Amino acid sequence: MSPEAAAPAEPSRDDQALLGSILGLALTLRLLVWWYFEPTPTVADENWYLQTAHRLVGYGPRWWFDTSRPVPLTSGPVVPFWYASLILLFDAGARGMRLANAVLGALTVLPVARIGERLGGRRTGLASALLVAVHPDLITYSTRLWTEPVFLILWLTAFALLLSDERRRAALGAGALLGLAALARETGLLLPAAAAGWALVHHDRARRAVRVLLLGLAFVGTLAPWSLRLSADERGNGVVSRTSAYNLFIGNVAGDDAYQALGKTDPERAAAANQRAREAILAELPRWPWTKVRRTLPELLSPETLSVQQWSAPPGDPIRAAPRFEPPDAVRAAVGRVLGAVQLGLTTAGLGGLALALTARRGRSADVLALLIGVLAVSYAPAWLTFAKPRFAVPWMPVLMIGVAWLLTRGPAAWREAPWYARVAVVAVMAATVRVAMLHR
Amino acid sequence: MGDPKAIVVVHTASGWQVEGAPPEAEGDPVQLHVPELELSVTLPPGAAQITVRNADAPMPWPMSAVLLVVALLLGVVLPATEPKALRKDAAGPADLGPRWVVWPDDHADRATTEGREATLANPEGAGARDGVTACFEAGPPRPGVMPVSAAWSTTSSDPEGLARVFGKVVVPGSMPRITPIATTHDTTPESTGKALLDVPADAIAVQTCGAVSGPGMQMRIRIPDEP
Repeated sequence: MSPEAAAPAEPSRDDQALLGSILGLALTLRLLVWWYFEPTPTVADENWYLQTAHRLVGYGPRWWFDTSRPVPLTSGPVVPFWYASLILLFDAGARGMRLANAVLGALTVLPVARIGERLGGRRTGLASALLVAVHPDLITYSTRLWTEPVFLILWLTAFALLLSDERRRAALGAGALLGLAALARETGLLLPAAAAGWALVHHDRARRAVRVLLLGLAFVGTLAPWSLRLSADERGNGVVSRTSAYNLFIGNVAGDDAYQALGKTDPERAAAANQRAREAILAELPRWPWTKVRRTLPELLSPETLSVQQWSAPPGDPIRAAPRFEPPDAVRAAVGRVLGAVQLGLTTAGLGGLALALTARRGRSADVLALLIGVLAVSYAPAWLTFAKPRFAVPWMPVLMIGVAWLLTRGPAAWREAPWYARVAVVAVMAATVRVAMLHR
Repeated sequence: MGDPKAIVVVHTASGWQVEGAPPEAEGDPVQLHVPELELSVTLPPGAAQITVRNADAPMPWPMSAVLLVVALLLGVVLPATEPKALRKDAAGPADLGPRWVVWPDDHADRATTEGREATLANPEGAGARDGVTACFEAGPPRPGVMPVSAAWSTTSSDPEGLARVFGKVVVPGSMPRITPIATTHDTTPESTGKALLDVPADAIAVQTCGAVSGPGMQMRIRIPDEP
């Protein structure tokens, strides 16, 4: 009897009740944070999503078929469409949209529990869900209008489905969800590559390759209508958006407004941005890839994340949150420091857990491990390969929480049986994580 | 089955463990609770013994070696690498002379600019909640305290309309620093205002901006030669 033939046990009633409690905790924490920071004005891209959603509602559905009307979106359509649907259904404003995102953010504990369970068993799954429920940054992002809540629930559900259901229609469903994730956030375009890694690290590669192929077909089928519509008007082509030049430029040399200053029209700005980014890259070759790691990895691992900045930013900084009851500055600073320490600890433990799993053990969960490492890689790849900025480490966070959960539940036994060189490697990874994270600023 | 000598042996990572009594009757499942494996095993009829072997095994040493090399590169070599300073010459617009910047692009028709003057108009009705922003750059930023000023007038036909005048400092890699000068929902006769902006050495642009949003708001804004 091979271990693969033995299916994981169905969740017991106790486990379901526990997961329900964790979901309740996740929702309660997010609602509390949403309520406390409700007066915070919308900033930067939040305004853009809000305005675009109103614009879509104003144009109405005929806009889709009127190719003389330029697509009013410069990023993927799923998030503006999500907010537009909230306006149509509930006449929601920014407050209501943030509330809806808080609910979405809480729901992420469910797919995370499933993925964690497939990696390390039921205790790992429940611990993963609990860590995601209380993670400061995942809570914070759940109460803002950026892409993260929508993007996370889509790709996590896709992979939970792929891992827990062997049927082909599940692979199709996972591909469609990944397609929507890419339409929510362009970096999601590479996520199917992580699924390919999952298929390769398995004894039945041929069968899994068929599933990944189906996943890919559904992925492309989901993207295609939008890509065709995007290319139908005179403003140029794009798979998900026309912001490649924008990302290339602001990721390397400038900020948002500097991009706007490059020209009066989008094509003019894109041409100038491409030229300047090319010049900057060529000037730094051949060390450029290493230089990129030096610039981007500290930012990716930095403990100075959104939840920390919300508390610690100086007065007048747009990222500083406006709570209902303003605490003294000393309290704000202390909370920021604590959150930063928690953030750094979780990141270090998460990468350490995944390293221990990678070095010390190989078994029925190797494919899940390959999938998670693949997600980390494809989330970082755009920042490295396309010379863009790493932007935000949010897609890493649920994966790292599964790593922490594995470390807590399976780590002690794995550590005991790990050979000395594996232990040295794991400690080195954790030490390097702290060192690199502290390089930021 | 029912053989009282039947046993279930599970080989786990932490050693041999046996948990779960032999079944009472043939076909009864033997429920194991092995936290590391999460197995539910049914002993086949007639089997005297079943061995479930945990396939988890130590990885060969190359994986540890690869991780160790990566950790050393990132933890030791990377911190010793000086990050290159951002190329300021590549950051700003080619022409740093006086210019207006208008966005979003698909609402550029809501703004007209001429010399140091701009006229912004947001239409009434559905779809007009978002607006248009026009920012004026007089020239390259000067580090230190830099004054900006504007003269403007607004007309409003809807109390939901909003007009804002503000100064902005653009620094690569961080949020734009906004200093409000005026905000109104109403019709405003010719007014003037100024702001003092803290301009850091790495700033690439200092702008004076007018923005209209919400329905039915219009603004005329003029940037004087001397702030």
